[in-house]
Amino acid sequence: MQSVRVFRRCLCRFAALWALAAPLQAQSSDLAALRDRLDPASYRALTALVDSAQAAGLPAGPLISKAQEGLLKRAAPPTILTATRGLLSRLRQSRDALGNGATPAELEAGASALRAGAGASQLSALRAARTTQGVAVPLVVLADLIARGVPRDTAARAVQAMAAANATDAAFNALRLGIERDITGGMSPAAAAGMRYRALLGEKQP
Amino acid sequence: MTSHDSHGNDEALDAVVQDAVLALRTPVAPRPAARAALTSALRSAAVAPAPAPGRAEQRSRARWFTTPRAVRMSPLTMLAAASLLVVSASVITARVGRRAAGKSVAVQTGTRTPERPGQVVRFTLAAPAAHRVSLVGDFNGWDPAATRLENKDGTWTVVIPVTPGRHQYGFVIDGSQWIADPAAAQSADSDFGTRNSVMYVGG
Repeated sequence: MQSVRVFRRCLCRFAALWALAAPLQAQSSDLAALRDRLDPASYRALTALVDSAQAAGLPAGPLISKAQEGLLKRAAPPTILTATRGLLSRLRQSRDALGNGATPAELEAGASALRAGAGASQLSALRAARTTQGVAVPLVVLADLIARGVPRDTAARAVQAMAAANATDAAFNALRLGIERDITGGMSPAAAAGMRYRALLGEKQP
Repeated sequence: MTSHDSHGNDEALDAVVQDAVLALRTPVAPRPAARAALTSALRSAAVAPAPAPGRAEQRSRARWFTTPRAVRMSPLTMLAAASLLVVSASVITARVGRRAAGKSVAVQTGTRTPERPGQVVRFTLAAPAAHRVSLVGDFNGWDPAATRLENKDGTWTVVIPVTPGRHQYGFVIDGSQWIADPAAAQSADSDFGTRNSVMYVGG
């Protein structure tokens, strides 16, 4: 009986290891596939960036994806490395702002928001406002609004107000779509976001 | 030996045989415990009908599977067995995944920005002069060989499942020309001098 128990325990550990190792294995094979497409020095530099991300507990997938995108677009290796390094830096900033418990999706969304122009303090404020749910979707919406031309403080206020009101992910997406429709309909991004923000405040008031 | 002696011996032998016969005919009282066990066995045999030989064999086999038993195995053999299981599981998972990816369960036509979870997305591009069109994005490793579009009268189409989230993508025409999706509602600046199309898949 003891042997059976040991066997079961062994099996469980193998299964857990396998589940953890599968994404890493996929990433390492994606990285290895870039070896033939980059010069040795650039490949070494890219590998160092990926290793650095993994050592810091940051997701390496976005870095590899960025390099793949650069290669597809025939960018020069230094440009690819610069872009990848910049992304790693934003992932670090994102983790600093969101905390160690942030998920890979949140970190990536945070990095996107930072690239769009959001401030690290706005990421932290959003995290503080939405403690019981993830912030990946609100961050994506924040990045989207800023990319559409909504002033960053207006976008951040709107998203934080929704987070404070315990809005669902679906409600965040509805906000994004609503502002998108308003902009497509001819409203300025600032006016569209301002109108939705005021509507949010109005809904909150009794 | 004389005949007289023989006769006397026979008589003596008869007496011994008779004693033995008497002793054997005397009823022997069984031990109470043995009697109780025998009675119980006979009763249970009378109440439960004897199972058919086939069923008995089946039960015996089933019992073999359900009865806990100790397995003696070296750690090396355990590791080998576990590895074999893991490899088998991964092969099966990969095959099932490939089959699932190949099925378009619910095709949503005419949009690239589905808002409901678990959707497949149809990508279309009008490019009558193109010989080959690929879809590339962060969901397929920006690999032009990964997702080819099919041509029908100059309109190139592909339907693929896309995981929930925000995705950047574009098209590659004839293996070299990058083009953002003209129908995409939003685009984003990439770090490489071109703009990517952006889509949101609900989840």
